[in-house]
Amino acid sequence: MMQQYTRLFKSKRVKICLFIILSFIFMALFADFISPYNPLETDLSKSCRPPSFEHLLGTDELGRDILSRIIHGSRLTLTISFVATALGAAAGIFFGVISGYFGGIVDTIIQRITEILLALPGFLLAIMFVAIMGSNLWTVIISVAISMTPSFVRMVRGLTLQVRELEYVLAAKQLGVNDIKIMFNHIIPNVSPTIIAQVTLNLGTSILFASGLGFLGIGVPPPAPEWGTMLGTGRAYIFYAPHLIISPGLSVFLLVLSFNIIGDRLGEIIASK
Amino acid sequence: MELIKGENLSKTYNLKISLTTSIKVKAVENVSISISEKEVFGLVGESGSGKSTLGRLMLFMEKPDSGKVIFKGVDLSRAKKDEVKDARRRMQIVFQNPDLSLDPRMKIYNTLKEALVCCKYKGDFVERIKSVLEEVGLSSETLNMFPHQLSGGMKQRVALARAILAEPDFIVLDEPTSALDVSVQAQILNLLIDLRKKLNLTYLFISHNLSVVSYVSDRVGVMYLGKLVELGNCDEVFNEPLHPYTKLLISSVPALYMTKKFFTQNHTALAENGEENPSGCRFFKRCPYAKELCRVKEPELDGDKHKVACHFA
Repeated sequence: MMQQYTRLFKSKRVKICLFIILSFIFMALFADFISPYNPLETDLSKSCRPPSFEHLLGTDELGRDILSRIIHGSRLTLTISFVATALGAAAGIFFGVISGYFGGIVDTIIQRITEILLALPGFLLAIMFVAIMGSNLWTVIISVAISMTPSFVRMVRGLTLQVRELEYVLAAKQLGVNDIKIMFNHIIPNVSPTIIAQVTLNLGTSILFASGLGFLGIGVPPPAPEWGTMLGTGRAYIFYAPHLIISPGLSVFLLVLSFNIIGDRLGEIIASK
Repeated sequence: MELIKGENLSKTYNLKISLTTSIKVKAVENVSISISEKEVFGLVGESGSGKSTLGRLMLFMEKPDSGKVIFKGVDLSRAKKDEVKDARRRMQIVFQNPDLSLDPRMKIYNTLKEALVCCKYKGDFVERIKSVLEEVGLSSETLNMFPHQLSGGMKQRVALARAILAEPDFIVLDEPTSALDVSVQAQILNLLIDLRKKLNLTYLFISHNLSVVSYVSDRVGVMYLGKLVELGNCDEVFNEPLHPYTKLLISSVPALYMTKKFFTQNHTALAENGEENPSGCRFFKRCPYAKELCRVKEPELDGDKHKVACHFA
């Protein structure tokens, strides 16, 4: 099994992507030490300055240093992406395994709820949620998590349906191993490779989703340096000062692309075994 | 002494073809068998004849649509949950495909430990597992390995060890050797025979390989399209087959020198698809001796010791 994952790092593309992700993680961890300015400090006399040696990526409409905001923003973005994906995947695995393993009425109820959630666009759901709960970091995380749960439930249920009829599960049942132990010891470990690939892809998707919310103005509220929010406010100055949206846009692009490439490669490796 | 008995067991599967239509497949229909203690009961028949389903019904791995399974005098369809669980643990199974019968993500030790936990074994787990591994012919190094590090034959031995660790009285061997190569097949068969004597086990041996069945079995049942068509002592069934299907089965075992007669006589019968005959005998369309009666009336499994379901046997 481990050998398969070491195969992942043989590809050059994956190495580059991993480097990009790790550097963003590094930025997020040490933001306080490496950012040149305070990301919240405004200076209207320096509004919308283009990149210079003083401000490497320029300043925004309120004169805040964009590089510092990107660095601090990576902290927010990665927190949202990792926490939301973890929550979404955990909920998806929980309901998916139960639904697939037990079948019957439990399966029907979980699947109908999943279908309802899938029928509503994720953004609409998130907007509703934010409207009810008000917008802050946690509502963003939870709405991103809720929007990705149904697809996880579906995937895990399908995988569980395959595994539960396999001989080793039947043998465990014949021995009298209880259902919870079978789910934890046999089913989850055997569906996990596919889940890992899906989680990696969802890390990217959740970044897009969270910055989308920020762009619409219902994400993490300002003045927090969230990339999507930066894009949203910078949009007004797009012709006059394009550097306001280039840097956050490029950051989102690079991070999402890296997660997607790694996720795809993981999926290929798992499929080829 | 009778150990396990299946009475009038039936199982139908619904195969969904599309949203609205589904076909019913009668995998097992009204089959009764009884197996006495320390006996090896062989079950033969072609693919899709319901041998494996019958085995799983006997284990209560699948619930029969009708009929009952009586294990050690207890009717499992009426027993309490705990009783069923305990009875099921005393009936184990070894599957056909060794690659699927062990969890690929679990070390052999953990796989085997599950069996000990389930039968509430009090002593030292490692010691007990090592001694059983030795019994099935594996070294104790196997404990820390993963299934993909073992060969097919070794995996099958581990599966057998898992079954034995649960301290069963009855083991269903569902084509345990058909996925192995011939030299390993012989080793596993001899191991099975040895273990039966040592541990006083009772086997239901399912196979489509007639020579394997005749090698290990005391009694043999022949299945055709979900029905038991012949039942008797191993020697009798193989030496003097009564049912035309059994005759066909035995004559279709390839011999080193096949006579021309075999081809001319049986080729058409073999090629013909055994379609169901709703009112009469199931073997009607393939049977060389079929008469009008066979088309209309279904024969019952009849006889004293050597039973057969044929109007003209």
